[in-house]
Amino acid sequence: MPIGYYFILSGLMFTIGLTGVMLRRNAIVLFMCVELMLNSVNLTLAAAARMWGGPDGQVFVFFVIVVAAAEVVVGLALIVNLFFRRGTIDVDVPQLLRF
Amino acid sequence: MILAQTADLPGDLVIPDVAWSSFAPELLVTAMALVLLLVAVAKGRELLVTVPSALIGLGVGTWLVTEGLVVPGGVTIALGIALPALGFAFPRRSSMVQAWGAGLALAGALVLTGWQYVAVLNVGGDTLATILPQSALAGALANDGIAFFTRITVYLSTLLVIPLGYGYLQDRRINRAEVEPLLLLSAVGMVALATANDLITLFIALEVFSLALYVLAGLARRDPRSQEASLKYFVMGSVASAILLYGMALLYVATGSLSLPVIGAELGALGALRTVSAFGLALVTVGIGFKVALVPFHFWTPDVYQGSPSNITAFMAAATKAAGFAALLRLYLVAFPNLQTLWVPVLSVLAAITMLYGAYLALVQRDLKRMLAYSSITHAGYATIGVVAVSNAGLSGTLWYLLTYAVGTLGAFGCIVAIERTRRGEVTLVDLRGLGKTSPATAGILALCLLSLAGLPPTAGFVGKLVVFQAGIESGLTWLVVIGVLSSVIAAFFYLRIAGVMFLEDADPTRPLPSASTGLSTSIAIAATLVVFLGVQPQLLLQLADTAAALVR
Repeated sequence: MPIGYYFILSGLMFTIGLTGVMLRRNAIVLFMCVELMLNSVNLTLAAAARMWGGPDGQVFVFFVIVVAAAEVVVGLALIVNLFFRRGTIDVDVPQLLRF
Repeated sequence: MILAQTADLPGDLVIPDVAWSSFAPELLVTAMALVLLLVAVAKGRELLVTVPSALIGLGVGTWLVTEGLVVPGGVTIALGIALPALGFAFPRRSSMVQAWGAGLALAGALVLTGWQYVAVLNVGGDTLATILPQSALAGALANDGIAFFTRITVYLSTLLVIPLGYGYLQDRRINRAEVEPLLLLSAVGMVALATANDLITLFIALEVFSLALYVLAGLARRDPRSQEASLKYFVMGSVASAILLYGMALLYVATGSLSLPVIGAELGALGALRTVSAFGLALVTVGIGFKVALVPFHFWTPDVYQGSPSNITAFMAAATKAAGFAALLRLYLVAFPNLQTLWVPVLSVLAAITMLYGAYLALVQRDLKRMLAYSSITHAGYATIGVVAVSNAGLSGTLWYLLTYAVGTLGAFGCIVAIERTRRGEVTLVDLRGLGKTSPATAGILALCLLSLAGLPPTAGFVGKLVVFQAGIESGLTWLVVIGVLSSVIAAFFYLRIAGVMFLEDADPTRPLPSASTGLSTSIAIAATLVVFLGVQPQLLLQLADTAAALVR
């Protein structure tokens, strides 16, 4: 299979994730979209590592996975706290910071 | 002395040399953050934690001294002795111990940075040059001018933020044990961002300090505004990181390397993959523009700055900006010099929009923190002028500008903390009426810091703007400098309006007076002194910035 297909697929995944982030307002869905974007990066890196034949890209993938996990920990804690405070996880509902 | 020997493994894998002294300041601060976390976990049994860690500190320090690293060793020994002493001295005030420990670690980090700087400058024939190579971890970290100057700015800002926020956090009952460790860890992340010389390190460092800041922004768990700021910062920040990361991945696709200098060389000899690399460059610009708050990507800044606890906002404004610009400088000047025709016009236009838009919106704000947020956006525009100048003068100008901005904004936020402590909720312009008569010291220092932010002589901000504008004119960006001056005039109007409200209007006697704790007054005083000192005697540190620019490869 030509390597270009992987890049097209990952580009599509990234676009879907970005569109989701911009359109959806549910914090969990938003969060899933960010994860989708990160995973599209992983796919790109893995395919490029295959293309260039070095370990660099694959090593980067591991670091991205670790960082994504750390982000999940912080993000879910924030979302849970938000839910306990206001009973909703719609990111548009809390609007105190306006001028 | 290179502590880990290179060993050839089967195959062509090589374990890189680890030159520990290259990141001695970061090691010290990280160690302190971990110890503080341990002490916090061991509630009531501090001695069980401090005594072993003191022994470890003594042992490691002695070993470092015998290895010839006298300064880092000495600092480690001092730290080891100081820890249990603090534990004994304030057995019931563990938050005081935490603050002192964090402050000592940061002061030690500043000393170590000075030592590193001297060591690198003495490259000719001195043995120190072999102790401190210019790059460590097989080129993943660079010990160059950007790194040194950002270390100074970041550690100094963090050092001032800790006493600045101590009393404030206690008043609001959010002085939880994780504050100092998180501040220290995010400072380390910021410095690592400034030293990062490959894409992996860059990304990890960015996430280390961002994750710590997401938590710090939501520190006031009972305050819905703080929660909202934290959530907004997190959502926008993680999206920006993902975009930046995709840009990095595309750069890797185009060049086949993760190391910034190699990417820079490869991008020069690029044929077919030029579109991919241009796309990567665009995404990286979006991601990093978000972190330093350039205008189309600035929308998170006012909300987050307004909602976060004021001392955290001060830290974000002063230190995050310095770290973000360090990464921006290194990315564009080391990795993308061959794509200059693409990014110089784009960044120039972004800088112009940023300066005008930020200054314009700051005019119509009533909340003081929100106004300073827009002012911080404006300042990102000025600092970008030094980047698009693409010269040593521009590089040192940006580094220097960030330092002057950091001290000015820390002083201003310190005064806001003092005013905020005695009243609930936000500080608006109305709250400042007649402050010059009821509390001349606070009003005077606030006015001084605002004058520095406005860029009027004889303050640090004036020299900062002067240096950046000069670099811009030298590189033929006169139009951008004209816009910069124009925006400074608009900005001066709202800074001076605050001063006018404080000194010309009558005071409302029912309003409580601002109150400053010892720590708060100390750090405000230091910030104000620095504002004046850097404005009157800029040569010393300006020279440092110049040598720093020359050190960048």
